[in-house]
Amino acid sequence: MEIEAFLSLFKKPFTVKYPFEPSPAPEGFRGRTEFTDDCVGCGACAAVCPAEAITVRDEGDTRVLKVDHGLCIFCGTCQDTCPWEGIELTEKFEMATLDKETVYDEVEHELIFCEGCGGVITTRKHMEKIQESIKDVGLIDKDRATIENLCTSCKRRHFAKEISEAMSLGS
Amino acid sequence: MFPYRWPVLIRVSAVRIGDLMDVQPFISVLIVPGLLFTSVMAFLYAGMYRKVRARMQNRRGPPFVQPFYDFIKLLSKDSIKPEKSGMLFTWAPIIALASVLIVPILFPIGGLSFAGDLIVVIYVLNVSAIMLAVGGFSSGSPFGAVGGSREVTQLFAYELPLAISMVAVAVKASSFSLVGIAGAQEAGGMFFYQLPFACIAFLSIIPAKIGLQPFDIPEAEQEILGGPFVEYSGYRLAIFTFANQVKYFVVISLAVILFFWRNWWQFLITGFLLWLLFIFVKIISARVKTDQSFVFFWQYMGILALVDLVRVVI
Amino acid sequence: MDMVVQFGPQHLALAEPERFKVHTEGEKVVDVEVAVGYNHRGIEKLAERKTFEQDILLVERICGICSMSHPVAFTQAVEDIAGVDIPERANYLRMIIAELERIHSHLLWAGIAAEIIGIETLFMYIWKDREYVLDQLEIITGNRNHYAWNTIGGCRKDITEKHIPPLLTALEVVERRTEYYIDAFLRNRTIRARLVGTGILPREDARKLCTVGPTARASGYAVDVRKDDPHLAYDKVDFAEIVLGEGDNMARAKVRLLEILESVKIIRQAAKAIKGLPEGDIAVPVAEIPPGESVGRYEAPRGEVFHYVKSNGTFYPERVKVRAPTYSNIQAVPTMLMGDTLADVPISLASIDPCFCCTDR
Repeated sequence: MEIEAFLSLFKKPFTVKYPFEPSPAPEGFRGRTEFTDDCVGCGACAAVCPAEAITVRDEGDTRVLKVDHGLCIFCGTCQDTCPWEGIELTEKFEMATLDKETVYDEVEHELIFCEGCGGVITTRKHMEKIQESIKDVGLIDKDRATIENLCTSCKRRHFAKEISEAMSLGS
Repeated sequence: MFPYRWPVLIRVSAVRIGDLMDVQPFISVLIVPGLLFTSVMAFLYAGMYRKVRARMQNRRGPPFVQPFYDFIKLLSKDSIKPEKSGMLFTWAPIIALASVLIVPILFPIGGLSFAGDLIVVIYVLNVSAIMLAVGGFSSGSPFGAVGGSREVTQLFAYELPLAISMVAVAVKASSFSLVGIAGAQEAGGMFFYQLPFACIAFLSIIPAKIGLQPFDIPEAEQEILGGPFVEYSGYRLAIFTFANQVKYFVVISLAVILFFWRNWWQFLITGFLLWLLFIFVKIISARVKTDQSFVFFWQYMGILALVDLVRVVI
Repeated sequence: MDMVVQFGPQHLALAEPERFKVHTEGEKVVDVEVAVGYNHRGIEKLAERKTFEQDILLVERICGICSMSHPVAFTQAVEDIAGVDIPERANYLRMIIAELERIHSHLLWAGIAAEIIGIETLFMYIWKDREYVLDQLEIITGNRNHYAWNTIGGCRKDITEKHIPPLLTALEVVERRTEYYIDAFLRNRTIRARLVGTGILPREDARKLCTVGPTARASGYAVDVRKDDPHLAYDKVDFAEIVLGEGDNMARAKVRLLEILESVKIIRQAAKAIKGLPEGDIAVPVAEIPPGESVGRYEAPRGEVFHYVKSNGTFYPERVKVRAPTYSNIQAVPTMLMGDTLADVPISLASIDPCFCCTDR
């Protein structure tokens, strides 16, 4: 140890002159949580977040998803749970700020409403993505318009009425 | 006022005042080797200490002038005086600083000197060590009291080899004044190879005197929260720390004058080299316990210094 | 001079707050009163409000340096209730991260011990080498602590082919430097003067006070969950259990430093073993946790940690009880400190490798 101590005088220091020199995070680092362009606003991330850092709020005809970086624990559960790759943990870690606005990240989506009762179905982007993914499965086209514009309870009532009408006609 | 006018002013005023009285003592006390020179050297030694220590530990360390910045910063902070502390809480650092600042005035590099000033030096350095203990006792905290009692115990321990080796040097130089000892070395060669055991004994008490590993027991940061320093803050801590930093320079210079003197610029260089050696010893050592240091100083170093004293007397 | 020196909640030698009132006569310690609870955060109560999957991330944050011990113990308990067997590759993956954590925790301890006895240089050198281990953990798991590596039924991420070579290079550096530090600890006169013969814990006291981990093994009391009740894949790898007899601070230091070398051996064997297992087979899906209760045991760097989990069939656990190793080891502190001088108190306290945040949860 004595020899090493003496020789270290002439060697380059091990420390990095951060923040005057960059010190980037490696690939796969769990840093700042950010919504991507693929987010549909389904709210799955908010349901599983252990720290309840992501909140979903319906205001008028927009849905706002907000992530609070002060509460986030950078676990990556939201990233693993999201079916659409809509939220990811970037490699940014320099999040110190004096401006409280930068602590929150928000994303807004347009909502679609039920023709029957006027309640919220989901966001428009979510519906489009669902249609996209079941495109090849094939649905009877005449039912599609009904399905897309009704919420779940109204859908059930609509189909129950159709079935009861069909059965009463048959008897 | 631009500085190029100041030498003229000083020269003018020195000539004027010099008609009335001898201006040399003022220069000795205030400039070289007095207050100004000692302060600069103290900050330089402290800065070197932190920088060299950092480089040996693979880090960068603060800039060389950092102790100066720390001093200024501490002066601007609030100095809290604990309720249970006494008047000595404020006066201990001031007396410690005053006592160590007296010693460089007696150095043979343009200082004032008189016969027997070596004894004055020993006593005055003891005052500063005792003030460390007093500061600890008067701070009203059990950690301070433990630190104070450790300082007194350690003082008792290293006094023996210190006194014996100094007496050996004085007998060899046939003079108890620093100028006389320096003169004897200029004439007859450095003392470190003529009195090697006394030299080793004296160098071994230096870490104990200035508070460096392996003998920095009174100021053990991690064990007793800094010992005597625990309740100090603000300007009182600034003065105390500055007194310690001056002590680095003073004690090392004393070692150079007693054993390694040739002339004034070699004095400065040897001082720096010796200081580097002690920083290195500090880096590679842990802190020993009080009873272990006692045994070391009384049994081993005391006997070593005694050997040289006997050799020089006979 | 009888004095009560309080190594109180705030102290430079302790990283976390606990209170130790030390009664001394002169410099000799005659009595010690221990008071814990300064770090209590109510984690066990909070665990009842979160689902099982969220609880893994909650118990991970009981501690920063034992942050693999609690999730693994917890998931072992829950997987036992659910009656699932996780894939073999998942066991090896968990073991690799667990042993990497043991290495970095023991290096951290060695640095802190060196700093407390005054030799700051060794502290800087040891923590510099710890950085290599932390860099590997960051590359593999995404963070230096709090690895978020576990899920009920296995692991969340995989260690792929490209992770292994830098890991093995870092392990070579760690092994070489650990041997250098063992040499430094054993040969440096001033370090020996401080560590040898202080803080002695006799074997009988270690057994009666239920100490665990390196604290017990250094006193000759051989307890190690990895050998007594092998979890993960410890029965499939070959390593030695380090047991020494002296029971002083130097023995505890030696046990931890030698365990680093054993951990390097384990990781090398595990890295070779996962080459033969199919990549990607890292978790089994677990749909629901039936009612039941179970205990999960794990050998953390500080000793045995166990989690008791009781489920009543809902999404939330009914009770989670955590017993951390320092909670047992702290009972041995008064015995260790008795009769030593005041200068030995901080290093003896640090030699049990206290993790007070685990103690108080």
